[in-house]
Amino acid sequence: MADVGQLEGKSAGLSGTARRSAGGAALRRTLTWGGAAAIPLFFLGVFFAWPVAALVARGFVADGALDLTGFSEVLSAPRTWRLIGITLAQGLVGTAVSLLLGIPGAYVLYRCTFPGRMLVRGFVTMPFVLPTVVVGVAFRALFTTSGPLGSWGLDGTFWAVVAALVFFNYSVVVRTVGGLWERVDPRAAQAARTLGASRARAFFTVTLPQLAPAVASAGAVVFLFCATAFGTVMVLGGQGYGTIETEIWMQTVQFLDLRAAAVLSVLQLVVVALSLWVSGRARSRQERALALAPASANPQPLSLRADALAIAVTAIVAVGLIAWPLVNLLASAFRRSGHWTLDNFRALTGTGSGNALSVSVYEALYNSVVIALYAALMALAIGSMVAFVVSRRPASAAGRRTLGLLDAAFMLPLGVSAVTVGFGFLITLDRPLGLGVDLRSSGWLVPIAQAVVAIPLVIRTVLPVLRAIDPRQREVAATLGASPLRVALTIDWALALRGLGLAAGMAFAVSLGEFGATSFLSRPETATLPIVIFRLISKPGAENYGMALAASVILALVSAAIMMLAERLRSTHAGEF
Amino acid sequence: MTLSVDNIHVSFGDLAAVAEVSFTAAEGEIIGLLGPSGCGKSTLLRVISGLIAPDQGRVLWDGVDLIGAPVHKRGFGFMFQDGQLFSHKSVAANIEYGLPKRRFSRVERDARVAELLKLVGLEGYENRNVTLLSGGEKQRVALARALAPAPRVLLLDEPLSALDRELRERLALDLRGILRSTGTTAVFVTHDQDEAFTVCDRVAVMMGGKVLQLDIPERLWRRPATAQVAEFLGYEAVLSQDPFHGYAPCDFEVVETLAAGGADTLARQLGQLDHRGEPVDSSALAALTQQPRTGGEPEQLAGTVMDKLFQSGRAIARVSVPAVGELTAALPSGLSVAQGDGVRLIRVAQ
Repeated sequence: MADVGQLEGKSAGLSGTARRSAGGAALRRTLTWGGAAAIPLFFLGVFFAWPVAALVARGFVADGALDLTGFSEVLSAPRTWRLIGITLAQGLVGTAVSLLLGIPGAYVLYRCTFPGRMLVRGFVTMPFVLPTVVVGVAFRALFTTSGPLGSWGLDGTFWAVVAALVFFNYSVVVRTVGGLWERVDPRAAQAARTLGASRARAFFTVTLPQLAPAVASAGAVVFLFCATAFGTVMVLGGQGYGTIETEIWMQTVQFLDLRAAAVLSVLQLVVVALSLWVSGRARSRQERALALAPASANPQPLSLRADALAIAVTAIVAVGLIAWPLVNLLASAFRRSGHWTLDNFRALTGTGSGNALSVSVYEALYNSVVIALYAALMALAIGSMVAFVVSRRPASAAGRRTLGLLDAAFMLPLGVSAVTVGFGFLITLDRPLGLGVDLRSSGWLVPIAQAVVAIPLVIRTVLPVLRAIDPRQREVAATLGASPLRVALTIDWALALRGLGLAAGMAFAVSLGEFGATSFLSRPETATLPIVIFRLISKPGAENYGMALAASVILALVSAAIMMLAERLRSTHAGEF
Repeated sequence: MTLSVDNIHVSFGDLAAVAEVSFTAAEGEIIGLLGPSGCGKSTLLRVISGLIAPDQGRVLWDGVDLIGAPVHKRGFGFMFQDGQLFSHKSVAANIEYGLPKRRFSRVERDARVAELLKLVGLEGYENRNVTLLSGGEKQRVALARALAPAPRVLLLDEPLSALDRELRERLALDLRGILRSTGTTAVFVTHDQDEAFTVCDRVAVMMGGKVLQLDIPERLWRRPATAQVAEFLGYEAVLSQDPFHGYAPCDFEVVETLAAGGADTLARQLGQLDHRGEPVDSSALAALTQQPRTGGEPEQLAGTVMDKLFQSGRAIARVSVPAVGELTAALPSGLSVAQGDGVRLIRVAQ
C-alpha cells in the first residue's frame, strides 16, 4: 500500500446492522422467488407428477403390496416384445430418414442464400405445427386404395407410418441443424479446402463434426417424437399395427386392463428417459460449441452445379413429401365418388353417417377453440412464471443447481407421452388431493392436460428471450433507482412480450391439435376436432371418410393461420423449436 | 458530503479480487481507478454501487454505512462500458427512466430531459430510436440518463473504452467538463492512463486487487511510488527500487551525434561502462546519476541509435543505452541521425 494521498486508516469491518439488513433482504428475495416458483410447482405436482407417479405405482403395487407379476405377465407375452420392436424400429428408421433428408435441407435453407429462401423455409417447417391427426389423415388419403399411391399397397403398414413421421419431423432436423449451420464459422471448412481437401472431405472431416451436437440433439428429439407418436399411428396404422403408445390406449380403452397399461407406461417412461438424457447431453455440448463459434454473417449463394445433390434432395422432399400429401388432402376433400363437390364440407354440420358423432364437426371446432384458449392461457401463465424464475442467475452454486432442476422438471411433460398424462389423469383426478370434486366430470381436465403438454413449449420459447437480456440492463435500471418489481416490469416483461406472442400462438396451436391426452379425457358431447376426425376416419363409409378429410382441411387451416400469426410476433431470439 | 470506501475486501473463491482498499472522495471530486484488466477496479466499482456485496469493509456516504442498502436506494448512478441503453425505449424514455412519475410531473421530466440532452450536446434527440445512434451518441445518452436523477455519486465503468481513439479523446474532455459543471462526485474506472489523467482529479493505480498509489495525475506520473506503478505507467527503465529512480518515455532528448567509437568513450565517462567496458549495475548507475551535479548540469547518457520513428506528431529515436536498456528519446528537428550512430542524450523537463 502506498502512503501517498488520502488513504484512510483501517477501521472495524462490517457493522452488525448492515449484516442483519443484508440477511433480511436475502430472506425476502428467497421468499419472493420461492413464491413465484411454488405456483407452477404445485400445478406440475398435481397435474403431472402425481398422475404419472400414481400410474407407475399401479404397475408395481397390487392390493397395497409390491407386486411385480404385472411386469412378468406383460413382459412374457410375445405381443409385448413385438410392440417394443415396432416402437424402436419406428423410432430408429424415422430418425435415420429424417436426418438423411434433413441435413441437405438445412444446408440449402440455412447455409445458402437464394431468392425465396424464407418462403421455402416457412413452407417446409409448416408440417411441424400441423396436428398429428391431420398428418395421419393426409397420408391415409395418399395410400388408401382409391388414393394416388393406392397401388403401392402401403396403407396401414410400417412404411406409411414412417413416411408420415418423416413428413412431421423433417422440419425439426432442418431447423435445429440449420440454426447451428448458419452460425458456424465457414472459415474452418475453407481452411480445409486450402489444405487440399475436396468438398466432400471438408464436409465430412470439418463441417459435419462442427454440426455434430445439433445433429445429435435433433436426432434424439426426433427419435422421441417418432417412438411416442400417437395420433399419426392411430390414424395410419392398420389392423395389428401398434406401438407401446397405442397399446397403452388399447389396454385402457378397449381391454380395460389398467394394470397392463400401467406396466407399458413404465416401459415407455424408460425409453423416453433414455432419449431425453441423450438429448440433454447433446444440447449442453451444443451450447458450449455455440459459445465458441462466432456468428457468421456471410452465407454463400446457392450454386446450381456444386450444390446439385442437396438441391435435388430438398426439392424432392419439399414437393414429394410435403406439398403432395397436403395438396392431395385438399383435393380429396373436395371430391366424392369421383366428382368435384362441396358435399364433404356441407356434411360437417351433421354428425356423420350412422351417427358416428355426438356433435357436429362445427360444434367440435368450437369446442376445440374454447378449450385451446383456456389451455393456452394456463400454459402461458404457468410457463412464463417458470421461465421468469429459471432465467435468474443466482450467485450461489446451490441456487443455480435448484434452478437447473426446476428447468428440467418442467421439460418432463415434453418427454412423457401425452397418453401417459391422460391415462394418469383418469386414475387420479376423481378425487384430486382428497377433495370431493370429481374433476373428470367438470370438463376442466381436457384444457388442463393440454396445458401440461404445452407448458414446455412456452418455457422453451420465452426462456431464450429472457436469457438474452443482458443482466447489466437490470443492473443499470437498479442504479437508476428502480425497485426489483419495477425492473421486472420495465425490463424483463417489456422485452419478453415479443416472445410471449409466439409462445401464445404455439400453445394455442398445440392445444388445438392435441390428441393423445384428449382422447382419454374428452367426453362425447365436448369432443374436440382431432377426436372427431379420428372417430370419422375409424368408421366405415365414404361419407365419414369424406367428412374426415374436410374436417382435417379446416383444422390444418386454423392451425396454420394461428402459427403464421404467431410467427409474425417472433423475435430473432425467440424459440428453440 | 464525502464518499468513503473503507477497507474493502472481495474474493471469488480463492481469488482475492479486491483487498484492503480504502479511499475518500471529496464532494465534486473525480477519482480515477486505473489498472490493467483483472486488477479488481470494476469489482470495486460494483461494490460501491451495491451490485455486489463485499466480504468485508464499508462504503460510507456522509459517514453513513451503505452496505446492506439495495442498489436502487443508494442514489449512486452507474454508467457501463457499452451504455446498456434500453433498446425498447426512445432516447427521452431512457433518460427519464430514473425520474419516477410520482415525484416528477410530465412537464418537469420533459424539461429535465431537454436540459440533459443540451448538456451532453444532443439537443432535439428526444424521440430518436436508441438503436440507430452512433457509439459516441449512445454513450452521451447513457451519461445523460445516469445524470438525470442527480446521483450523489456517479460510477463510470470504462465508459469510453468501446469508442475509437479520436472520439475517446474528445469525449474524455467533454465528460470532465460535464462532471465539473454539474459538480458530480465520480469514480471513473479505466485501463487507459491518458483517459484517467484527462478526466480525473486524482487517480488510484490498482493492481492485484490493491491500490498501489493514489495521487494527482502530475505527481503520479513524475513520482511513481514503486517500480510496479512506474512500469504500468509505461516507464522504460527502472534503475533502483528504493529510492525509486526510473525513466519515462521521452524523458531524454538527443542533443548530438558522436564520432565513431565516441559512444563507448562517453559511456565510460558517464559511468555507464566500467573500466573493462562492461555495463555497470543499474542501481550503481542510479546512485551515480542522483549525486548532486555542479552547475545544474542535466543528467546525461550515451547510447546507440537502433531505429528512428514518428509517433504522436514528433520524431523520436529508439536508443540502446548501456546499463539502462532501450529508451525512447525525442529527436529535435534539424538533427539528423542514422541507425548505428552514437548519440549523447540529456534529460529534459523534470
